[in-house]
Amino acid sequence: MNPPPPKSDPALAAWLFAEKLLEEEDDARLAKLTDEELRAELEAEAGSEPKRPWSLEEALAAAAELASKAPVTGTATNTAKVEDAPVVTKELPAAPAPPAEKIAPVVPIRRIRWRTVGILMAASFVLVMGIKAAQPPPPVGHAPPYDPVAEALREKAFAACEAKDWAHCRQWLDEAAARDPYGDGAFEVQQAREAIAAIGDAQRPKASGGDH
Amino acid sequence: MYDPKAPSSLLAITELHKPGMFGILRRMAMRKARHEQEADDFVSHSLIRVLDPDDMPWLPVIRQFLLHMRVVIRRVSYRMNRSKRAHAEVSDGGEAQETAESGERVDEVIDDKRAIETRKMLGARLLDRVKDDADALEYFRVAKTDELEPAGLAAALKWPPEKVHLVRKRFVYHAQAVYQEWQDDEARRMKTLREQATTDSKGERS
Repeated sequence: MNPPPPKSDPALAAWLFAEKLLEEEDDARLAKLTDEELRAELEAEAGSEPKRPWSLEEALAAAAELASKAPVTGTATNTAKVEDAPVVTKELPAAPAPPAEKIAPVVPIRRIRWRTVGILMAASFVLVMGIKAAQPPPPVGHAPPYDPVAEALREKAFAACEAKDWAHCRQWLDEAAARDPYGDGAFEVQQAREAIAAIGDAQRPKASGGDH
Repeated sequence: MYDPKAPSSLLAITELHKPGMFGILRRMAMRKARHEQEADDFVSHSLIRVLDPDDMPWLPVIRQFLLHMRVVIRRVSYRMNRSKRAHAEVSDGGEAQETAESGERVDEVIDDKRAIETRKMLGARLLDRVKDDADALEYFRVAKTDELEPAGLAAALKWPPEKVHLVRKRFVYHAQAVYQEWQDDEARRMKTLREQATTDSKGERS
């Protein structure tokens, strides 16, 4: 049977607590010192030089060993909850045996290729349609602007053709075509050009026959 | 959790490796301890707490490393001493041999008992001074066991932080007063003893 937890004297507890508070008060003053001043101050107030040699590495090893056991101090909020509880270093429970190595079960892979392809195609279609819908409509084609000069030239050319002045007729039609290529495809223009060509064909053998 | 590879721990270990630093820490612990072994225990436990990012890691923006270690060593020694002295209290009036823990010499235990008696006396005076101050007593009751920062203490006490600060100030004021009175008493007592010794030696010569 465990002995009952020891009862501390409230007066002793009060003074230990007061000592702690008094030192904390001193911290505020020390915090204002420079590194050198602080070191000098703490060296002055520190205790005697220990005789036993003890290196930092040994101290760190000791701390690591203590930390691996149940620490006396522990985390600030954990250990001091029960006032004056006896310091009991609990034996750590035996480490559980490592679990047997698990083998992952073979899970059949579900091939859902066609569904994925279908979804991708539908998504692509929606995307393309969206892009199309977002674009502005293409510009609508329209006739070139009306050229009165070309029209006048063609009127003159037609008059020349009627007067059988084929040379001027062709010349003014060509000038009109240069200014307004679209108008050159008109039915009347084509008729006039065919007539010029026919007259030309009819005259050329005569000319060529005359040379020989 | 103790983690010497945590960023705050690496910073602390770098400081610890500075020339002379570890020596000062041991001496600071010696001031709090009764013997070397106890001082080294304080150092080990302080290192555990500083190298634990969840406990008392060193944050350079808050205070210098040495000052931080002073605080840590104080807390460690406070807790360990309180615990040990609580054990000493249950010796039901036995001799020093009964209370001497393994590794402790009997004369050290006797010295410790004297120090305990002095502290008990000072604590009794302090409690007498604050007996009518319910807030100070409540502050003492909560703060003595839990190492809480001011905000946590305010939450535990359900007081505004300003009130915690004021009550703490009152408690410290009374403690300083008690300590000063005791120091003055001791100085007077020593003076009387010296005068008496001088008178006695003169009387013997004549």
